Amino acid sequence: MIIRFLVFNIWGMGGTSRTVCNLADYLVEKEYKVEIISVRRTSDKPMLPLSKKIKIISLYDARYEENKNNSLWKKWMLKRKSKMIHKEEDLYGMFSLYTDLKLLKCLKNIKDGVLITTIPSFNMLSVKHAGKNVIKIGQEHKELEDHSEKIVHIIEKYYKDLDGLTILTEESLPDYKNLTGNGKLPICVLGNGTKMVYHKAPLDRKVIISAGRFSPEKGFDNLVNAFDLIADKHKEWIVKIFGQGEEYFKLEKMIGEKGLNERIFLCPSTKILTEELSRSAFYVCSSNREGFGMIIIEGMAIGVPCVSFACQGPKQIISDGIDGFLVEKGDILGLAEKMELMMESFALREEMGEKALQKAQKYSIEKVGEKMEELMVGLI
Amino acid sequence: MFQRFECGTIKETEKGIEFYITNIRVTDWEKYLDGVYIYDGEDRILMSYRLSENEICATIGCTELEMIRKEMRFCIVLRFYIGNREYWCDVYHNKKNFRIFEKLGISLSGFDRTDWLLSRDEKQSRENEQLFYVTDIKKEGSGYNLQVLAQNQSIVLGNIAVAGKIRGEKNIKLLTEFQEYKDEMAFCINWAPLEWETNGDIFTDIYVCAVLEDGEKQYYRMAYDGQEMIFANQSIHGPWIEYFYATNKRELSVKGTSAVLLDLEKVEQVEENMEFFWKCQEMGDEIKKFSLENPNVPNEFFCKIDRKEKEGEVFLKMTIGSEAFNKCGFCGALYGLNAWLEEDGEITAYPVYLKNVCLKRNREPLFNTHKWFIVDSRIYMGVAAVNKSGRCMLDIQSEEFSSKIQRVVTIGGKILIEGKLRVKKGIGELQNIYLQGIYGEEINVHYKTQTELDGKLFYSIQIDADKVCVTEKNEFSVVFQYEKGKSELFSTAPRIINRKRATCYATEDVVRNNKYVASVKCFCDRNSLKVKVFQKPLIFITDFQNFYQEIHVTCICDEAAKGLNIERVVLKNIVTNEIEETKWSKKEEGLLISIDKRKLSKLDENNYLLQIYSNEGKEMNVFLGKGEREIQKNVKENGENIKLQGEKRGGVYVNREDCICVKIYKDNAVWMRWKVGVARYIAKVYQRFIKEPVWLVGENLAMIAQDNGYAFFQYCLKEKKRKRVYYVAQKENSDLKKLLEDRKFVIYYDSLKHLIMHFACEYYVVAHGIRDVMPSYFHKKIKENEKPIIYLQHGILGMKRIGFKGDYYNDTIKLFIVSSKQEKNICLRYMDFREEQIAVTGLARFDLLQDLSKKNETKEILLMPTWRDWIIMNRDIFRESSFYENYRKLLENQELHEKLRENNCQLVFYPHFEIRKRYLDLFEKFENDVVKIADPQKVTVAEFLRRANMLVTDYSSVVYEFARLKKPVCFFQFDKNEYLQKRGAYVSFEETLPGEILEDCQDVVTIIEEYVRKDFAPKEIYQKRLEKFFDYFDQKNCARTYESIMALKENG
Repeated sequence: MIIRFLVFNIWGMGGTSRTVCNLADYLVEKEYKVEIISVRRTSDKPMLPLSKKIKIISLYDARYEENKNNSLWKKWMLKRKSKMIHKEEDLYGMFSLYTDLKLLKCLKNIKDGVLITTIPSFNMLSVKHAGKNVIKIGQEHKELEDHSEKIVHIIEKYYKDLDGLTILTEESLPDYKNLTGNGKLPICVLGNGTKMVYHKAPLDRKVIISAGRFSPEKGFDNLVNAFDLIADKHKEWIVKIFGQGEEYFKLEKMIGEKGLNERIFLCPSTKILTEELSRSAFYVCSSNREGFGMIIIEGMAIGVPCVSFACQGPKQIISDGIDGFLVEKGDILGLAEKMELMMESFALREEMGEKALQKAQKYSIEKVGEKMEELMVGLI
Repeated sequence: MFQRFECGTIKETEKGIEFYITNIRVTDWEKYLDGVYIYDGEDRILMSYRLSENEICATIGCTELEMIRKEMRFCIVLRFYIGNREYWCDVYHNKKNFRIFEKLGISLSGFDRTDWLLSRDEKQSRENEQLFYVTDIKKEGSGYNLQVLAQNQSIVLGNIAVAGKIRGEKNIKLLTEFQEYKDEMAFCINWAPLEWETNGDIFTDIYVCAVLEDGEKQYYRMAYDGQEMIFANQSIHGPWIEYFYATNKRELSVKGTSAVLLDLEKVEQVEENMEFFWKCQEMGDEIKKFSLENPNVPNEFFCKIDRKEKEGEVFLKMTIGSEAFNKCGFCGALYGLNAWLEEDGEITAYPVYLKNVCLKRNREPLFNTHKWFIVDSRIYMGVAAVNKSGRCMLDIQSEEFSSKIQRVVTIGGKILIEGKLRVKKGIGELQNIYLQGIYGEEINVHYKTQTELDGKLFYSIQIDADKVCVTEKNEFSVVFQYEKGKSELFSTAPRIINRKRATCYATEDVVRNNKYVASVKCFCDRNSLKVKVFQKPLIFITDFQNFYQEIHVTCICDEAAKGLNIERVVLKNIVTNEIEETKWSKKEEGLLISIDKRKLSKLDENNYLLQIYSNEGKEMNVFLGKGEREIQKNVKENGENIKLQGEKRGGVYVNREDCICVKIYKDNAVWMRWKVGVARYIAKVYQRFIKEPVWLVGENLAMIAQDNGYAFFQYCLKEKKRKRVYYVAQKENSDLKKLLEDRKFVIYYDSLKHLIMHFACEYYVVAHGIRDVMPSYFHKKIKENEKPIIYLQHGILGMKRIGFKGDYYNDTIKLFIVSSKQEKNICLRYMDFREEQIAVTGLARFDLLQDLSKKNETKEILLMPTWRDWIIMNRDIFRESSFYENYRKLLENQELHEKLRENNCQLVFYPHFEIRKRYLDLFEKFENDVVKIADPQKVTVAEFLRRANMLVTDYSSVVYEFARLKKPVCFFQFDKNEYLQKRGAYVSFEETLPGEILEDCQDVVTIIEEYVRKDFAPKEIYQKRLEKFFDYFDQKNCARTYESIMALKENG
């Protein structure tokens, strides 16, 4: 029996890709046959190392080399907008009629096994087109509130025909239960899992770290504003923000105008985020909306505590005052206060780091993988 | 200084494995340690570590071990930061470590000197299957004593000798005489490697050659587990070193190379110099000098040596610093150290290898050698390092240590920079802080300094943005001037990858009289802070529409541009800079540009930049706003393939700098593809009927016929009577008349015949580039070219660096013609050519070199400067430049005029094409009876070179041919340093140029006068230098070229 994951781009660096990689690795170690179907391929090697036993198929190879001699038909199809993926999906622009056809063909060919799909449109297509004998498990990787109305409509319409659903947080469980007809659909609160490593961060460098896409919902401008309030009192501290995206120019302007250019650095995305986490003192998550916060877990797994806005995800992960701080959403002063507390006391960081390590055990890939296995076994 | 990190102990803990790493003989490396990693050949995984008393305890957990994917094989690497430099050191292990970690369920074995092999299965031991083990190597006289232990006694051996498989030679060569196998367990082989008789480096695998009882010869590798050993050997060929080392498979091998083996005692900081103390018993007297060498830097820098005797030991003190260097052009680079020894009256250079440092995988630093020195009043920091073979290197960069920039903020038109730095002892007091621009200008700034409690100097610099905007574009570095030298502003902390992008600075717009002038912003250039003046994008596109007869581009203007008055909107040809106006109309926030399609159809096929001119003289491009995805998509979708009249097509696109451009091109319409298809078939048939292969010859995009292409073409036609050699010419070729004398052998560019010949030809014979003879249809596919190319070149390499490589055009250059062995070496060394690609024959046009100067009534002195692209762009900059100043002074010099008149001479000024195009009027005013400005339309360059009696130039390579005709030349190089830095050369000017090098125009006048007096007789010492640039002084260059081409076919 083959377990198949259908993702958008396993070669990319999003939270979804990372968690799918970890899960796939875990399952393959448990002697399952695993395949990953990625709609898009953007580079030669996946960002995260995957076991060689996992077969990866890409539907549309978007690398430059492969597209130099496209036939006219392919070029035309790539330009046409997708009809199968819903318009309001985040990544709608990256899909096209070409990927539609490929997707359709692929789904029709899946006649058995388990199919795990990761975005609402995929979940919908899985229900519509995958074979009858296929065990369809859908995954949610975003906050329910974050979805647009029409997407919620899709959830309402199609999710009940899935065989299983995994969501990120306990909080949204009742909402999902409601949407899917309150009944037969087994919903599992899975969260994301990360590998537990031996390494423990020393937390002695005066570096604050944050990472993510430079887009409005990740709210790095909150972090800049908060740091601005305390920058002068703590002259030795710097902030490193890893990522890229459209908000870069806005952030650059902000930092430049406040004169914080030698204090806050907008570093490019890096493969070695764990290393950077290990060279920092604590992590700050200033997102306006955060479905889960995989990176917080990864930080906690090496003993890095986190200060965060109380969005859906972080709320579930961090216990305020024990292994991190939670601040009311949008409260920049509060964020600055808690950051200061962390900066002033090494002992506090150490203590919280210990507790964070313990908390991270809950989110180890073993636990998450087990839950997933349980769900699957229950459905076979 | 023995240098090696070793892992002695491995311990198992609950969660992982602990490695204990030490470096016995080097101390003080702890402060540079930045991280300990596991490296599996692809990725590095961070390990936890703690330092204690010269020992690192590094731990790796099980999960991390699982992440090692590549065949479960890894090594441990250490990361060090010295100043701003990153170094990686491997950790060695000398034992065949083999451990089973039962609790963890894994086994670890030593794979080679640095690698470990991890496995989860049962014991995986890598027992060495060698029969023979070398237990010790000792030097004896001029040879070695190898102590060998035999492991397996099942084979009965008769006689033993040492054999070697020397690199390059296929057979195993016997290196010693056979000795009797006395003791069955252990024996000794005496061997003197100098009997090898090979030239150059030796890399040899050593075998034990045994003659078995039945007389058969068997070769066995010998296993070796000891440390590397390096021995110096004075051989008949000069200093020579031999390394014994174990390969990855733990087998003994030897490397031998010509080198000097020295023992570095220490490196000290003495005032503003770095001083190296070498212990050298054997070589004390013979080393005459040391030098620093780097293939990318055209000069070698010689260091001062002092000899010291202390307690019976001879020390050689090598000083690196200002007095020691006597050549210009010093820059930061990775230099190799050479020692010059005297042999037979001549001094030769040998690389310096360090004693007690073994072969490495990476370049490793020598700790405690991080010192600074001053050259040309600039401060440099050097670190001594060892490269992979053990050679001594010097890593030199301009940098500061302990310098931290705390704040850069822009308030009210001023940029404030604050920070702290530790002033180096011995550099003197800080005297001044100022800005230095790329055109050499210096701008003073206000600053305050204060010495803090911790000894560091706090500085606060205020830069007036308005003052900085002297020109529209510029880049300034912030220079700290101390008593003894100067350095730039650097920031060493923290370590950020891609600092240029990561640090965010604000932009300050400078507005004068309500009109936007320029923007000022700081930026980070490899850790040094610079201030740049630039034109920020003022006009942004907001909408794009493609109508039937017009193209509409709507734009808005930035706030800062509101004060500017827009005069007109143009399309500027990117190549020729010609402009074509278009209509536009003002809109509320910006403007609407309407481009008439009929007008577009009349333009040449090229790329055009959309520009807006204001009547203040500003040229503004139309930019795509950052992050504006919608409009970008719009342009991409609707801007392609706009139909114009005729076969022309238009396209609106966004270029690399985010500016809106329009391109006009001919669509490779169906009929063109048909034409190509037909040509292909005709060519196939044609090839069968002809006896001689077809050659296509051309020059300079087929626009001229004056250079090597034409000379070679004539040779093939007239001397060799070839029937199938064709010259490709455009219809606008300036020498068409001359060409049409051989009408049958001339093909027009892009005609059907051209296409047929392209398919049918055997070689492309070109002088300037592949497009000289390649039909335009294929220009887009140059990278996939399959036609073999014979590259005739059009000049002599030496004074100017070019960005050409041997594998250009899809690696189809079969022959690259050069004129001398020196040029060949330049090609091999700097341009990655292979031996077989280069032919030393001399350029074809040398056959037609003639000297007509004797016939002159009025003697002509030709003044021919080359162009410098860093001053050409802006009229103001050009006028202020030292170039204009110097040439003005020369052309106006009254003394010179007098002398010329007296002797019936004329000075002909021949500026470069680009200078002529834009700034001719600035020179025309100097014309008088004895000073003339040349007109290339009337007389070609070649004509001038033939006619002139003397040539004064700076860096033009025509000088060699001129001098070859036994006419005097001299070089007016007032900006030599700048030229070397901005453009670079391949040869050292002082040693190789065939004429006087002058820096002042008064000197030029003096020299001209001198030659005029002597009736233009060239000086012998300079003529002699030409021998390096020409291997042949005859008229047989075409013949030799022809022969080399013919020889190609024989060699396959």
